[in-house]
Amino acid sequence: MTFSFFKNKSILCPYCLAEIKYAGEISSCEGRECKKPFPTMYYKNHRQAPPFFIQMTGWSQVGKSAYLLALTQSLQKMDKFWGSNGFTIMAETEETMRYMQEVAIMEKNGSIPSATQLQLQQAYIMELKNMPRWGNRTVVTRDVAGEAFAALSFPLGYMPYFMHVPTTLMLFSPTDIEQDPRQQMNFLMMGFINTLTANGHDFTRQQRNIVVVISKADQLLDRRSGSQELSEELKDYLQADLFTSQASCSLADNVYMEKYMSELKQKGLKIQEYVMKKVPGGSQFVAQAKDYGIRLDFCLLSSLGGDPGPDKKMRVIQSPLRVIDPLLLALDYQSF
Amino acid sequence: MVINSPQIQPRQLIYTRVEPTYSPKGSGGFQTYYASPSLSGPAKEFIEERVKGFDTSDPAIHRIQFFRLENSDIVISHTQVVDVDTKILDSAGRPGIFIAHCLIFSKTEFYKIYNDPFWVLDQVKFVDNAQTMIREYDSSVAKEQPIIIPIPLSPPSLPSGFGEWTENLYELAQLGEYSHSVIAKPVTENNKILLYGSPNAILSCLRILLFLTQPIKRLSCSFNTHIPKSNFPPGSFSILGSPDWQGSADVVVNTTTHQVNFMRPTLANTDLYLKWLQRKPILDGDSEAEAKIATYQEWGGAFSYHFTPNRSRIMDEASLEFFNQYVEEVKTNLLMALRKNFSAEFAQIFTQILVNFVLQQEKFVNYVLTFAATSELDAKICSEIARRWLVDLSPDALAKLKNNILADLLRLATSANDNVLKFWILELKGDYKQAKIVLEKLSSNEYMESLELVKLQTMSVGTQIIPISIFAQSKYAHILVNQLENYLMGISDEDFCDIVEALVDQQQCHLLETLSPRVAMLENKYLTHLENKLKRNVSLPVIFQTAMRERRKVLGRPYSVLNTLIGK
Repeated sequence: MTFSFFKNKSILCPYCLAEIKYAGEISSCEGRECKKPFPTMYYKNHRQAPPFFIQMTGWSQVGKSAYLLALTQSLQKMDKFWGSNGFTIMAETEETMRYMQEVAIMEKNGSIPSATQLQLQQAYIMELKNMPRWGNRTVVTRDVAGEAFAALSFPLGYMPYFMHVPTTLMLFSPTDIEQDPRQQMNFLMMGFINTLTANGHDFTRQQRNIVVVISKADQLLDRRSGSQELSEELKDYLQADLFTSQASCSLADNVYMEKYMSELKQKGLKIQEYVMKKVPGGSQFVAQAKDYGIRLDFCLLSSLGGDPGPDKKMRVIQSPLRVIDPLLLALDYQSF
Repeated sequence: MVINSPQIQPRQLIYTRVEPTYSPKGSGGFQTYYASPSLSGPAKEFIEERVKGFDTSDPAIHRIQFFRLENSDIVISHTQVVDVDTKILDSAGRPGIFIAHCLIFSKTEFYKIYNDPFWVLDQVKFVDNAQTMIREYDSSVAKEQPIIIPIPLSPPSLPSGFGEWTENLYELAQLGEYSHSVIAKPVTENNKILLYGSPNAILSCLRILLFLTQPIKRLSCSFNTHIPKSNFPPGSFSILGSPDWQGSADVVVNTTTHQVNFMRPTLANTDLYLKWLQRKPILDGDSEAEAKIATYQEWGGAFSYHFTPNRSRIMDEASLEFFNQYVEEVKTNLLMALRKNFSAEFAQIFTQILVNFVLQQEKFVNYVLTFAATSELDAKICSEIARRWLVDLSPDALAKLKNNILADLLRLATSANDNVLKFWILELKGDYKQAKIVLEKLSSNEYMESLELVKLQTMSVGTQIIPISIFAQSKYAHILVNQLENYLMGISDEDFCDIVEALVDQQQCHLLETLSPRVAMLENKYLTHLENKLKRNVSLPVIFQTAMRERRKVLGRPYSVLNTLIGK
């Protein structure tokens, strides 16, 4: 009698997200068009550190690239808080390594990321090991140009993960929306729902989650933002980021993170209220999501901590705020 | 009336990032800012796809792309990072905004400039800032700054960077050869040449490769001077420029040191190409050297890839030099080509005939080289050379020509529809009946050409293989008679009588008038023979009759066998 130990093994291709079932060894994607070799560490560790795909959406200039930059910076500093757990971060591809190095240089020079080009961007693959609450995960993401979301039907060629990932980060900048009414929130939700539906997604069978990220939140802190100014509670919440480099070092274990997440979700309800009341198209956005059974979570974010100066270099020391929150919310969706 | 314009005006497309205010579609982002109205939607999409990705890490990079659209139009594009402009380009003031300015030519237009993208690049100032762009181009009113390209008076001259390869001619030759083979293949086959080094060195190398490529083949070429590391688009460009060696390509060239690394053996025979490069000292601006290079280039390519060269690029003198230099290769090719149609013996002989003919007469050198390169027999040229060969052969040699050689010559004559050669071969074969049929079909020109083989000037020796009287049995006998006038006194009495009889048989007695002076030299025997033959003929010209009477007076009694025997 023989036992098929290797039956039912499968791996998600980090480039095309095809699920490849295999027995024995496999080193590259067997998807019809992809055929790319898997990164060694990805392949070796995909069972111990399951992939976690991040799909970002948002209008042009909303801050998607800046968020990716800030997230990469922040994750590299998370050992300050998760160090007792043995937290490590590791690039799994050459491109990811180069990107992490570029991020370090940009941080040093205080420069902002380039405009993202309208083409399929590189996949960045980072292994996050020994996180409290979430354990080991391999973060896989690609940047995408905001122009790709301008139409009702998104061109999926630029966003290969869009149809597959259950959780999407959707970024909005209330001040940008104020200046350009074409960017109001419900318009992006229309495109999101339409694209999924047009490509065969059934909302009644598969739930979708959106982490709504209010970006450039530093602009909402003072009265110059007019009616969009955050409440004092939300201002405090934004500024009291526990995971910034300025924050005092504290041990963040499982219990701590559980409490943190609970508070984060509570604050999310307050942010939802803010969105519905103060951001153009916000209430319609929430209604549309409800109609299609889409679960929403809300958070605030400031990737740069302030406006770049006229030379587009940061006038103040770059101090991102609440950068880790969208990632944690998305992780929670896919873990619990 | 068709007027050939001395200049061409390409259509244009500009791809960049603009703010909503300047966007033709009203939304900010990377997009086509301007496209000439006559550009089709699919053409625009194709161009966008090609230009939209650009490595903006180094603002000094200028990317040049050269490619074809599906409708065969040709695109030359220039891309560079532009200064931050928060009003027009990106209100967030992000770096990394570029402008790709593309020129689109029809195939016909591009041919007028010898399919040479570098001619365009040398003439045009591309849009390189936002202010100029919005001032000179506006899609809402189809306003564009016309770009006028003059048509060059001559093909591109030798690139100046060529001299830098003099120590690496072998590499350059191999590369030239390889680029030919890559370009000849469909791009989807994914053969690639990677040029790495500084942007200038890459451009210089590309300029040389394009120069080494026949104008017609340049159209199959596509290149991109800047592709960032590990980002080789599949099936897009056959020649890629990159700042670093990273990624896979069949040939990798360090354009700074001129080192060429073939990742797998090349199939093309580089021998011919190499030799010409190795022995050519190249002088900038030396038009003769350039013409020679062009000629060698054509022949090198023709022999390597078996195509007919572009005659307009060929200089006869250089062809002859090439012929002399590679006579052994030429002979081998000729022999192989002739063997396809003829017997081994004939192929051997005729190869030598063709080679000797070129070496001695320097005529038909381009035809013979083309024949050797392509194996495509130009039967007309070959039969003409065969005729000239026959003319030069001694009667002895002609008489000794073997039947199988004659059979092959006849086949050659038939395939060339060469009645002259056919007639002569039939005569040499002894097939007089068929020969006469062919003779009757000859045109007056062919008849004159046929006469050439009789060698009238040497008839006095009496060595002609074909009796001249045969030519008198034709409607064009007057041509023979006219030509004979010069050689009349050298004709033997026997031939003279045969000719006279043939003319009488053809009822062309009037032509005998021209031959009258020869009668005064006839021996008694032949005069008597003619008198007997012509005594009842009433249409003899008076002059001829008089000449016969005069000669009779001189010779006395008519010839008879009995008188000869008794010595009277």
